Amino acid sequence: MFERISETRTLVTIYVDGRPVHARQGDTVAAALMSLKSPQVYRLSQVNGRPRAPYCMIGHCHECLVEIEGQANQQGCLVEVADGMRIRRQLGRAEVEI
Amino acid sequence: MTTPTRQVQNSYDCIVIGGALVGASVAYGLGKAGLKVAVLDGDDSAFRASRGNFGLVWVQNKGAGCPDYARLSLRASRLWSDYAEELRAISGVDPAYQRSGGLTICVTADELEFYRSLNARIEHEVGGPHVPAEFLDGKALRELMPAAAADLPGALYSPVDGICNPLALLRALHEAFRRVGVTYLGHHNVNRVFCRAPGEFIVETGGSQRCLTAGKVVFAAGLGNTRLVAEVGLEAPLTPLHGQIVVTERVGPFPCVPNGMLRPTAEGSLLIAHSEANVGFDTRVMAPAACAMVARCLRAFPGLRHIRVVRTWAALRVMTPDGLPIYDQSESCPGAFLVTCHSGVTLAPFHAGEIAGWIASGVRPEACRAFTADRFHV
Ligand SMILES: Cc1cc2nc3c(=O)[nH]c(=O)nc-3n(C[C@H](O)[C@H](O)[C@H](O)COP(=O)(O)OP(=O)(O)OC[C@H]3O[C@@H](n4cnc5c(N)ncnc54)[C@H](O)[C@@H]3O)c2cc1C
Ligand code: FES
Repeated sequence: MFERISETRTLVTIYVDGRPVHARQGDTVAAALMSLKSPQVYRLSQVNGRPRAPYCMIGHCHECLVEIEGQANQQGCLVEVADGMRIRRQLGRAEVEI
Repeated sequence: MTTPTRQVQNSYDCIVIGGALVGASVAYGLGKAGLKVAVLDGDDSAFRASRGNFGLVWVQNKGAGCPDYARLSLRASRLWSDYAEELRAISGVDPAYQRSGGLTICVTADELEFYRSLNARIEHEVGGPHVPAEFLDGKALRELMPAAAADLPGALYSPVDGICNPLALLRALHEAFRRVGVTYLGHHNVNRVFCRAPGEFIVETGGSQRCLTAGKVVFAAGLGNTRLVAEVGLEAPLTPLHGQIVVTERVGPFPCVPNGMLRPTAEGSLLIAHSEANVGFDTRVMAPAACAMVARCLRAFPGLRHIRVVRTWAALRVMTPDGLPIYDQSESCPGAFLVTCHSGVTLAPFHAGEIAGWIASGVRPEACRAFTADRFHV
């Protein structure tokens, strides 16, 4: 969906749904996921199951929800990637157990 | 779908001042009755309980000291299923009403005792069986809500209580009144209303339509009523009562019977209430009060401590001195009506039905005879 302009920042490896992919140090999780060719779908709405993607990128809209290191419903646009980080897309209702 | 578009005119059978839950309900009922109606509404700077409330359609514990209010609340809740369906059909917007049943969760034995005697009193004053309600012990409560703390003394349960999505209700009402030909003028803050001749009201606004005339006028402007009504011989002694809501992230399936401190939403987040503070016309969030109500909720549902909060807001309740509605018509200027209340969600079907019928026909319904403002002078 997005092309990176020239990139010199250090490469890190993150795991998206268990699959290792590259991101750049300093990326937010949302930016890193959107720079991937695949998967194309960022998440599916918890309410109606439709595909959604980050919108504001500044922490307001909650469109970028994603599971990071086992914690669901994180705002991907507010969290920086780290080498080895485990991310899971939320395809439908978050599994937050009470 | 075609919708009637009507040119803005200057003269109406009835002008409704305020287009939030109360005004929109009344306007919808008046439009259905065939009157030519305009709704004059304020802007985003207005105080609007209708956009900040908890969305309970609630009966239990209501009406001690005023059996007419107990009856009115029960009556409104019984109208709700049909009302929600009617609004959905005409507007295409579902107010998401659910007659889910409701709980009053007691955290101490004293609280349980308090609600026991409160409900005995209401039943006694109503003079017969009223709300079908039963007291649950802690075990029975946990059967309904497994997340309830093991040491809670119990709760009151009533099957007549329910919830809706109050923002969807407001949307549905606006769409519904438009479909029955009501004209809506937003950004039309009313500055003054007076009676030029019997049955001829002049309404002055700060909007593009500066001056309108109407045969009748309904004051349904919430806290905005107070400064407007004296000139037509009505009285609206209303004060703001600050309340807050805390919203959690969306969670997985969670059996939750709505109660005064916690309710589910169709979208998966949970809403936490209830706080009250007298802080005047101030809608800022007050962190200490918000923390106190969340703490109480965690006391009742300890498992929620893992759930994150995503937002919180405050809104002002529209309170009369006794907390009961005012349904009044001016004696000196007949045709000027005041319709205002706390619990404008619960009472919405009554406002669109019998209250609108009263304004259209002039015949005052039995159900609202106790709610004139002269009660504040005895
Ligand atoms: C925190 C909280 C929780 C609540 N929970 C519940 C609940 O669970 N169940 C329930 O039944 N009720 C609940 N309520 C109460 C309910 O929200 C109110 O009774 C209801 O919204 C009142 O609606 P209203 O139309 O009278 O006034 P408001 O919603 O306050 O709106 C007033 C309207 O009048 C307009 N206006 C004001 N002045 C003027 C003017 N001069 N000219 C033109 N327009 C004007 C404003 O623009 C606004 O649109 C709650 C309230 C709060 C604050
Ligand atoms: S993209 Fe809007 S909050 Fe993250």
